[in-house]
Amino acid sequence: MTNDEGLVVEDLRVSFGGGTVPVIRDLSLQIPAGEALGLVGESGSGKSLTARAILGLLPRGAQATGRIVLDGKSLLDLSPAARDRMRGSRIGMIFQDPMSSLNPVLRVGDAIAQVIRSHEDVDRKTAKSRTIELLQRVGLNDARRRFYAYPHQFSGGMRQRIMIAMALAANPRLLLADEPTTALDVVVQAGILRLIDGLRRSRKMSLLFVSHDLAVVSRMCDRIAVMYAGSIVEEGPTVQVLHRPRMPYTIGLLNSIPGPQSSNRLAAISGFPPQPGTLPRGCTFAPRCPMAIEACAQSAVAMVEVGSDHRARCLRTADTGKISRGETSAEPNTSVSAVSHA
Amino acid sequence: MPDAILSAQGLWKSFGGHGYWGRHVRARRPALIDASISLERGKILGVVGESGSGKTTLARCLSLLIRPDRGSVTLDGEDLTGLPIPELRRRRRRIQTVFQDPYASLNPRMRIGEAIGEVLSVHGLVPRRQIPSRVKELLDIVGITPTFGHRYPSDFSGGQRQRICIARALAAEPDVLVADEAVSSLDVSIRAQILNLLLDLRDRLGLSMVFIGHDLFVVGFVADFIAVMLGGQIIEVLPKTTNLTGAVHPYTQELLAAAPTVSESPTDVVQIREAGGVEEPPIVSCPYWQRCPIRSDERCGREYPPLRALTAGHWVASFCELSNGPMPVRHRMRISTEVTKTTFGGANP
Repeated sequence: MTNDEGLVVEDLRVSFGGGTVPVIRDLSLQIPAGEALGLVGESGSGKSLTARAILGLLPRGAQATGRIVLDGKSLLDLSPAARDRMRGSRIGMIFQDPMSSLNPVLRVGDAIAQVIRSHEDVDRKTAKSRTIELLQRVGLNDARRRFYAYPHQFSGGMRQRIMIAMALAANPRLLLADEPTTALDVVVQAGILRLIDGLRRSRKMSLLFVSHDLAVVSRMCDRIAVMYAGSIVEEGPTVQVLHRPRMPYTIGLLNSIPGPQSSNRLAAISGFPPQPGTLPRGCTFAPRCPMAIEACAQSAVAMVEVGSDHRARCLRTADTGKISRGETSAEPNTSVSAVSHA
Repeated sequence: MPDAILSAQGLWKSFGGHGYWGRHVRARRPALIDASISLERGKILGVVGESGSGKTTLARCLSLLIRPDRGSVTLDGEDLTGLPIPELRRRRRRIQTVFQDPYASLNPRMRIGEAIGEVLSVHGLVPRRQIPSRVKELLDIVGITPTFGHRYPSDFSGGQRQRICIARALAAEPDVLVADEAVSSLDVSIRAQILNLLLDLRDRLGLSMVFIGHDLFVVGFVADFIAVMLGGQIIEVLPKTTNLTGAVHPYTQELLAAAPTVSESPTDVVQIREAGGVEEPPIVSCPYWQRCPIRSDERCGREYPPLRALTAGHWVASFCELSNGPMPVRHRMRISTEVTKTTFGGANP
């Protein structure tokens, strides 16, 4: 393994209740250095938990098994102390809610300088000047004065920028963004997305972008992994997943988004996602799937190759490939031929 | 308009004023400035805007949950603004609100059947003995299993709770339903279900609706006409027929550019404004004054621009000449859709 390999997750399994209730099952993903992967799914699908498992901040009672390798280092084998050192310095995380993720009684400058000083042996003055630089980098005007401000003096979008500055303070190689713009306005969201995108490119970081919004993810990521009930059900390059989705769940998600050309009603997915612990035996999506056949409920479904570097966990990929979505009809034949080769 | 179920004329509302223990507080821009709307029976008015643009204040004034400083609200031909409180309370039944957060809007210690039944008994809408059957009916309308009335809110997911909130609002048999960011906290797939539900209710019950949100495409999808708000003012009213592409106000175009859509390429995030954010607009000015790429007229910084009609149903508030042409350069950074192939060449070996 080379050092610039990025993140590799293999057969990750997270369970509660002493291993009896699995909430993430056999999850594998890869993010090469400098690439961005979008993890998409409904609430409860396990996407935030995946990010937390990578960071090593699982809630009490959760157990993770499998392999998580960052730049050649296996994270699950590290001692808690070594894990603490990784967190922040190698892996940065931006949480969803900037209102509750900042310490309200700490000046934002001090909060960020604290991160720098806990990971690197620098004096107060250097930490402060680096903090001011960071605050400028994330787009705060007048950073020198804002260094002394408290979180409540900032708007939601500005607090999210401070969260980003804090996540970047120790130059992480992997940035985990857990729904970073869900609490924000559309207009503010566009600014934050652009900032994260620019930082990832200029620092050549790997990015795991967790969101329930395919539209947002499509703007940010090279690849998309769609999660449902604790496992990845479709994965591939963004353009392929969006324009030629092969798993009925992904198709349903795409149809749920009102766009400029939406007609009278949205083609919503009916029903609700299953509860952990009461998963159906076969394909977890089968009870809600409009295309389910008997075989879907029989036994677990494996990922199949449906295109170059594009995989889906579905028995009916041959038929889903024929469904065209909006603009997909432009070049219809490429994916079909890819399937027959695979 | 003869058939307007709910209309508002020149609403103004300011908050703050005397400050804590009478200390002086600096004057602020009113939260609502000269807002007028008219909602026809069976139609859906969409209201879009960023946080702080006054959309919730408009909703609360329309349902008389707060009294406007100036202006009038008319429900079914009757002016509500001058009514004494007991009278007002009786009218308020006809305007019901569904709020953003379904977790905070239901009493966690009250069974959902009780929560809905309470509305029925408070307003005396059905005889006491028929309440349970009416509750079941209401749950059925919003797509919750009718026998779940004895369960608590904690037994339900966010989307289901929002359905319960809608059932509770419907229990009052309103003429107008105000959905204040009712789908903003929901997942994309659940959101689609709730949007479809609202549209079905409109068609089946002939309900009129005020639908408030911050995503232009979501609001545009449900609404028959859309009011865009900024800095307390309605700056543009668009009829559904123009399909949002007819928007002329630069702020509406900015919102359109900011709403991510899946059809475009990755790395296509649009630069909206200079990083660092924008302060509140001055107390008296065009709400878009500081960011406006085409401001020229002296009046922009000293007066509120009034709404003027462009075509039937399309209104805009601006002193400037606006056209539906390409936006000025500052707003058009990287909106090209041409980059798809090139950006993907490298990422997909």
